[in-house]
Amino acid sequence: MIEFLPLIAISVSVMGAILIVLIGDRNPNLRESISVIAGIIKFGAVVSLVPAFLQGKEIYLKVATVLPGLDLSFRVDGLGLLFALGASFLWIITTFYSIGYMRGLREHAQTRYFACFALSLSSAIGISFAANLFTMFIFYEALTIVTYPLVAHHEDREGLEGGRQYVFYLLGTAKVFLLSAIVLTYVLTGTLEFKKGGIFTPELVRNNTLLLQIMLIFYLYGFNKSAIMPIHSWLPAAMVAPTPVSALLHAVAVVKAGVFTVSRVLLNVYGGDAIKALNMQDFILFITSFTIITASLIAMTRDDFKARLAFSTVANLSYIIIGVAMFSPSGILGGIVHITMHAFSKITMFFVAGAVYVCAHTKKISELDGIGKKMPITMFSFALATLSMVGIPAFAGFISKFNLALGAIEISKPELVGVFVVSSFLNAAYFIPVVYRAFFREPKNPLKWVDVKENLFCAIPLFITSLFTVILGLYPNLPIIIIRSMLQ
Amino acid sequence: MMELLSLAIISPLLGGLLIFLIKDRRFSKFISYLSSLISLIAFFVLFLNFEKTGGFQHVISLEWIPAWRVNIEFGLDKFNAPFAILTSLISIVAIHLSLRTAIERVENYLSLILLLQFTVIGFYLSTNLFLFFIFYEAMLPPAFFLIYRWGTGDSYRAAFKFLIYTFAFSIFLFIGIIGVFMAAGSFSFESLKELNLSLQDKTLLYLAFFLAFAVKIPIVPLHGWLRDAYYLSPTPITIFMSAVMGKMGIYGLLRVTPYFSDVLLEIGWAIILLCLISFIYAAFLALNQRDMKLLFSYMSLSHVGIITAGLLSGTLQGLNGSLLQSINHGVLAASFFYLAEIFKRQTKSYDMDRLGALSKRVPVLVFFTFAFVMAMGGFPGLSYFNGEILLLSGIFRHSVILGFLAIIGVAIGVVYLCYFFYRVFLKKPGSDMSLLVRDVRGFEFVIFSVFFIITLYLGLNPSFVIGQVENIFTYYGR
Repeated sequence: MIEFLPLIAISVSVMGAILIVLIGDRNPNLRESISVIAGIIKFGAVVSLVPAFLQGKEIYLKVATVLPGLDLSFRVDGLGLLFALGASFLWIITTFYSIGYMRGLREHAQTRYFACFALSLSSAIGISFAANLFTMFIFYEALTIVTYPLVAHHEDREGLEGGRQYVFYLLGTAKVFLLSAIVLTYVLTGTLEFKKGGIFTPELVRNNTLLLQIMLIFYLYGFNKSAIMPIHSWLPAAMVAPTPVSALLHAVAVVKAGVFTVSRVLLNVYGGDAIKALNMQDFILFITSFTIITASLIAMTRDDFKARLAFSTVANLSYIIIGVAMFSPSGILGGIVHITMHAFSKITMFFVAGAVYVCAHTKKISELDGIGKKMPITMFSFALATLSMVGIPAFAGFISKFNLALGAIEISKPELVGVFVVSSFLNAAYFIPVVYRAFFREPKNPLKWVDVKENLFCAIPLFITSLFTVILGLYPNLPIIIIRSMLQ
Repeated sequence: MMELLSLAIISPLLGGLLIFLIKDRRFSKFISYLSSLISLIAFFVLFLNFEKTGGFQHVISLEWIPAWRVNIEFGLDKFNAPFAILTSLISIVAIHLSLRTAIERVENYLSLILLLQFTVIGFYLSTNLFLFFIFYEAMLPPAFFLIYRWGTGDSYRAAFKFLIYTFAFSIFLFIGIIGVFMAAGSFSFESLKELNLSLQDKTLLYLAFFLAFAVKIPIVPLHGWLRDAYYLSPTPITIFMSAVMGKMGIYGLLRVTPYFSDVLLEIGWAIILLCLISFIYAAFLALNQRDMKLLFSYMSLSHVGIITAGLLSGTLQGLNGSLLQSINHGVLAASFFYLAEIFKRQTKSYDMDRLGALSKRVPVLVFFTFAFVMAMGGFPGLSYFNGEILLLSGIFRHSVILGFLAIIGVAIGVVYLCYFFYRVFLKKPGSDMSLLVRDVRGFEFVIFSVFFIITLYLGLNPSFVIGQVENIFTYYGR
């Protein structure tokens, strides 16, 4: 019975989407409650997998064999479970936030919005429980497709242009790089099933070194949702979407699906031994370090609130890959746990950006002087999230950064610690001014924020997520246990 | 079972003759649907009742020319049965679409379509090269008259070009068949196994076959007839040509290529390269079109390039991939041309730039178009992806460089398909032509649903067409 739970978790939001479309605009309250109920069932299904997983049970379900070695099948492991937990939990919170945001701004096409949202969560869960590259590829492509209407939601010139870039980059890289890498993997090994320690035998690695190196690069850039530089520009472009979309999809589901898939390839297709034998470890560490520093520097120059968050996301995604690419216990732990830790901090920040836009109608950081007094819960939550992003002890971000630094020392590459330190300073440099402006500066025009008051539909969800950055910072046991039991 | 197969083959011919003799408008419509439907159902029942391994089954055999050991012989095996079903299915669609558009002298038209269907089915099911050749030629007159008489614009030129190209190059098929007869003393396909020829002679023989079929498929640079023949024909005939008749060339290669694997080891890379150039060249042509029907014509030309390339890769993957992809392509090409005709019927134009912003007006049409665009773009889990992965595996196995070349073509394919969808359904502001477009319903809804279900089903269970291919990673030549 338990092996059907992943399938239930995937299909419940597809059902939800169908119901949402059927109900439509006639009864918005019912429509949104279906989103919430589907979210709760989904989260319940994912959570009930945790005990069985911790007992070490094998949870595997094969739905169909399409071609020899090409199955549609699902397996639950630590990496996938952690990603699914975070995504399904944050979906519930985002739904509440979306209600406040979409109704607050009287957005059009809300039915399509909620339906696509539900479908994108199905795809994200499908990616997390996929047992092989083929299944993962299906859901990866599906995620791109169903998020397009969300990115292009406003349907104006800007929205369509952002959506065009989004689809062009993601589908294009998936076709050119990913498809060739997957087909070559299939040709070389005859299977696409994930395996602990990788599916390429040492003999294969010796005979096809150049090919496997090229394929690795193809995988890194083929799963382009991970936004490794230089192919990252779709992510800032996709910020034209409504803020809840940017929040969930570009802090939790889409981009995390990207780094998740890359981690899967590194851990379960190649494996540490193969990567080291191919001399590719330094390459991955270099491009990710480069991305971290460069993206942080770019983020400092952006005045648009969401653009700054977007570049910060680009940088933080590479944290996860750098950790996994260390292939040392602490490195992998730090990298994967950052999926969760960063998700809670970054979604809070996006929620704040959206809440400010809904209540005060501004998108510029330079115009935020003094808004903290009018929106205390919102800006306080932002402060908490900032501390977590910077990596202050007792906050979520510290757990991952600490383990990442440990990992760097384990593989005796202290220069990586330097990268983390510099990037933490940069994090502080571009986030703390926001807090400072909000609380400690007076607006030039004293009457500027007179009409502004907090929208509780927005403020409560973001306060909850910001609390989680503290809770996860103080009690990080669950994610760590899950990852440890996976690494054993 | 033999009777059923005879019924399946003969019913279009009988229907065609009946219509021709009776010449009654209403009667002819009924007969045409009925005879195609009988043929489809019979083939389907036969398909469910046969083994996808081994040689010809349910064979019908009539003695004909004993001196040459030639019989009138039809049979089903793994390679031709899917094509036979496809032909009957596409015929029904073509007949329905013809009846939806105003056509003069519909009786003659329908009897020619049924005759065409009969010759194509006869071609697919013949078990010896002699009969195979006769049906290959017999298909030309009905096709010529259909294009010439009912085409638009300079249809005489289009029909004549089509005729000349196919007819002229079929001389190579003739030479090939004579060569086989001289070397093996028989016309049967089995005799290809026992060719006692030097590698050089075999290469020449294979090139003769390839040239004849490459015109039919077609492969660039032998595609000169395609643009006019596809564009100026009435759309039902375009559907028939691209979904079924183009596949005749691929089927011919599927039949002969496995026996020439030693030739492929020598010159295979060159032919594959040619096919891939055709694939990419036609994709670029498609990228430039603003005319929907031309776009789909070039798309069709492009995709048969990679199907042929995979077939020639000399691997079981490529061989099965091309069989599977031919069927998938047949279904999807038919649906795309059908879509183009729906737009033409309502707006009197194929011009994509005069549409736009349709996404909310016609939800059912959007859904089907989107599904077909996704399927044709190789969305994993839908039918086309399975064929694509098999073909690409075959090509990559042959040569990694050629594989990357193929990937480029695949990527351009996604671009023009998405661009098509964007221009017709999403682009804002839409033109006033968009207001003329109405949603699909009735029998057309059924047709699209059937196509969609086939796409979904073959996405999860391609072994329905290609059978259980256990040892898929072997070369058949080495």
